Amino acid sequence: MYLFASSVLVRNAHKREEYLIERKKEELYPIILSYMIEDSDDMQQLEEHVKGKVDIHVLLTIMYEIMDSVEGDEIDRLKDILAIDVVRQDRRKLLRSKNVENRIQACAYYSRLARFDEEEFIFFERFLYSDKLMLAHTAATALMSAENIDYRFLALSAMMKRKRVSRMAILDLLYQFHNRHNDQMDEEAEKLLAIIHDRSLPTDNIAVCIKAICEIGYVTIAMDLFELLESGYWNKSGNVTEALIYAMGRFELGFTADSIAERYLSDPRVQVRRAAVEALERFQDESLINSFHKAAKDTEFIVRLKSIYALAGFGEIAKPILNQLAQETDEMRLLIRGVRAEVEG
Amino acid sequence: MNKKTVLLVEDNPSISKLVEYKLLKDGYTVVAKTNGLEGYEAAKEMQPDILILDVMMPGMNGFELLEKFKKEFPDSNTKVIMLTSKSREEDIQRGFSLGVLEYMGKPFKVAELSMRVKKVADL
Repeated sequence: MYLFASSVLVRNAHKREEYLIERKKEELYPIILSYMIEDSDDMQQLEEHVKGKVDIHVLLTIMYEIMDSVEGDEIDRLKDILAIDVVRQDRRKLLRSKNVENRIQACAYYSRLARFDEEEFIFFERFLYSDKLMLAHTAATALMSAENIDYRFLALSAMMKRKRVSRMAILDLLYQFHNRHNDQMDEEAEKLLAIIHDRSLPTDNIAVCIKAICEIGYVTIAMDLFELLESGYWNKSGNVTEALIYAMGRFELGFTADSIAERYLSDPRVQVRRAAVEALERFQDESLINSFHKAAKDTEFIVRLKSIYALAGFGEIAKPILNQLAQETDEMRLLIRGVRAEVEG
Repeated sequence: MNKKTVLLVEDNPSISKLVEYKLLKDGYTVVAKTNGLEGYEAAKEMQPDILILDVMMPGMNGFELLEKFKKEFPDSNTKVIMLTSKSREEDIQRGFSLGVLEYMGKPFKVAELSMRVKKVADL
């Protein structure tokens, strides 16, 4: 009976809270939207309204939802609303709070606002080295909103040093590191190059960084990546070597084909041999057919499979080799039949 | 002159409010629904001049809504704009094969949406 009564009370309280939030939202929408769509430039009115009646949490919930769906000048107008004094003071208070959740909320706010002063920066810098990963990541995100590349580099370097950070988190920060609004590609590439030379960083993170370099398209450092591969600087790390070979394929550096075939198709690490076959496949170079033929007899299934795909991609020219391979084992016959059916449609 | 009618089917309340606000300012009569099923019922009843559809929605997605609507009213003059974060090529093709006139990805510019609605309304 007691449990039933208390659950009804909790549910009613929850419903009432939801109702109040909805009411506050209804009050706020017209004010935000009229400013955003440029009918009104009366920021003072907005500020008065927020100061007097409005729950800042509700205001920010609405703002973030809209910000996720719009772009261009409209985002700038929304940032003006985020920057109003009463909101910024409130978030600054959270930044100073001892509570981690509050700090995370504050950092998330600054990452949207995309501006901060020296005092606020000191908090972000401190949080970057917190043992609470979520707080460190959100602080990094706040710094990533800066136009100044040095702030972004500081955030990236700090997060790259962490060992237990997920691949997705690193990738997310690397995409944020890239400034999409102003061309800073050369400066960014230079900083990333410094990161991928840093042997004190976890190799998993370096490998993710190299793959992100390819995805974002820092073509100006493609040759540096080739030199890094050639020099054997990261040879002891399978992950980084794999990522560097992947980069050769992604940047379509065909002149690296012989070197990759010679050095990496017989590497003892399966992930490296697989990466080598995949990179070579991208070059579509007929002189590599013999290399694929050899790789099709690899001890690992995944390397054999990738090599068969590569050979099938050459069409008629590689047909005699595929026919010959098909006669060698039942597995190979089935594999080739399946791949041909897929490649030839 | 009669105001053109717009039916907006969008499950994110903030986006719905935003688009509704802008289109009301632009002089349209706007009805907003927040899920596919309600959107479908409203489309049947209103036969709006313009239908703005999100894709990912609870109940019935935007493509399903449009398919059902087109099947029931093959000669309808309703012009359709998709407004969605689902903008892979196959999604866009699917939209156009269903008679969608404009396909806008999210994030979007409100001013651009307004222009596209006007263009479609003037056709």
